[in-house]
Amino acid sequence: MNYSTQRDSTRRPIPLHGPEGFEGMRKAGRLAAQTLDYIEGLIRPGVSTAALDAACETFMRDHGGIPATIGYRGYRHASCISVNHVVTHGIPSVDKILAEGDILNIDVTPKVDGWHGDSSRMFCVGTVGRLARRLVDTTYAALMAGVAAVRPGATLGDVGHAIETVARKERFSIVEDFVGHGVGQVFHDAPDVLHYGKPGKGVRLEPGMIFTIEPMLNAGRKDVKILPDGWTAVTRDRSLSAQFEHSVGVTDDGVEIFTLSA
Amino acid sequence: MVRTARFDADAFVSAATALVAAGGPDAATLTAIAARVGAPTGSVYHRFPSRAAILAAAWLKAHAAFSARIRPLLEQGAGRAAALALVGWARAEPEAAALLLLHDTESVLADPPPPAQLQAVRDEQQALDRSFSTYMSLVAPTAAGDPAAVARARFRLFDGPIALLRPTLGRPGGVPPYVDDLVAELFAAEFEKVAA
Repeated sequence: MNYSTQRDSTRRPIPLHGPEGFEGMRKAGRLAAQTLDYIEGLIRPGVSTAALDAACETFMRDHGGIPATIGYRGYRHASCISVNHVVTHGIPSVDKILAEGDILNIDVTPKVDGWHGDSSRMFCVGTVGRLARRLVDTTYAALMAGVAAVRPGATLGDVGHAIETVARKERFSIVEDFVGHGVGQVFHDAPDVLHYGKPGKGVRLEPGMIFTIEPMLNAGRKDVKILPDGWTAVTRDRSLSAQFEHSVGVTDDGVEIFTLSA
Repeated sequence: MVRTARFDADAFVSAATALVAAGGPDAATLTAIAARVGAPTGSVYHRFPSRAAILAAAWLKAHAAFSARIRPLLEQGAGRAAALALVGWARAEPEAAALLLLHDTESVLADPPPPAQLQAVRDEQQALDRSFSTYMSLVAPTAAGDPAAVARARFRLFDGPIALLRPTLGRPGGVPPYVDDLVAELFAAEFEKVAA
């Protein structure tokens, strides 16, 4: 692995991964996608987020992965499960029971042979409201617009701008307090990936860069607060929030998504 | 799993607080705030419309922390405990204390902040005034309208402790223990119905 001569906004060096890195990310990313595919079948009214978390952990371990979130800065769970107005880092709980109409994000990061496959998706519990549906659909469209902007020579500002454009068109706000990140053998690496930006600004993308794109869109204002547990981030105005995430790599001629379902 | 952005709004507010504490409101320029966080100056504007908005956010954050410690005690009539809590807060949050106690609100907010923040500042001040009124009605119900009694209470609760704190803020070693003793001595036991 080499490093780019560029540094990200936090002045850290940005790794440039070779073929072995891409292969490692493919395996880890595939398990992340499989885990999310699997968990979808268990989501229904009445199930607790702790039960879903346990199922995620079992699935990842049974398929050769280790949940990288366990032990990360003291986090104790195999997934983050963020329901309705929880923006991110929702802690699975036996007390959090899903109800008809809920929307939730499940974020998993199986570590396979030392590589981190980081991905999250939104799920809808039964029939959800029109606003919730529009928020979920727009967030996915925003993620994919960001992914589509990834190619050698483009910038992280281009990626952020693409995401921002989709969100603004639907009058949703973009959370700024959390960012995507470089990923690989290090869970949270350089570069920071902002989900807003100006075209042409920021780090210029080079083949070998690997990072997550994981926009969080709110139906209300962008402001979030962290609950006393130190993890759970919620919208300050208690508006709905949604997030999707892929781990991607910059190739010689475009982008590879590591966390797509087969 | 997302990473927490290094440059969140709170980081800029904390930087502004530290700069005001060390060098007064004039030291908290946008360039200095951004430099202290290690962020590009443009990233400040992405989160705050103006320098005045950051300074107002810093004042509001400091005052909210101060109020959270003092007001519940005032509303129980526990003046001695409230005055000691003021000292405890200054010891725990020396930069916020320096911002609030060493500089007039007018100088921190010399450039008018956005209207919503200005209203929030007024709301904070009025809430503290109401708590003080509650305190007076509890500990000295017969002294209503007696300017001397009100002045005495204000001195014991605020002006006295703040005068003792001011020389110590920002000094090595922080607020010395004798300040607590001196603040405690400001209170005559018979003045309060409710013991600290």
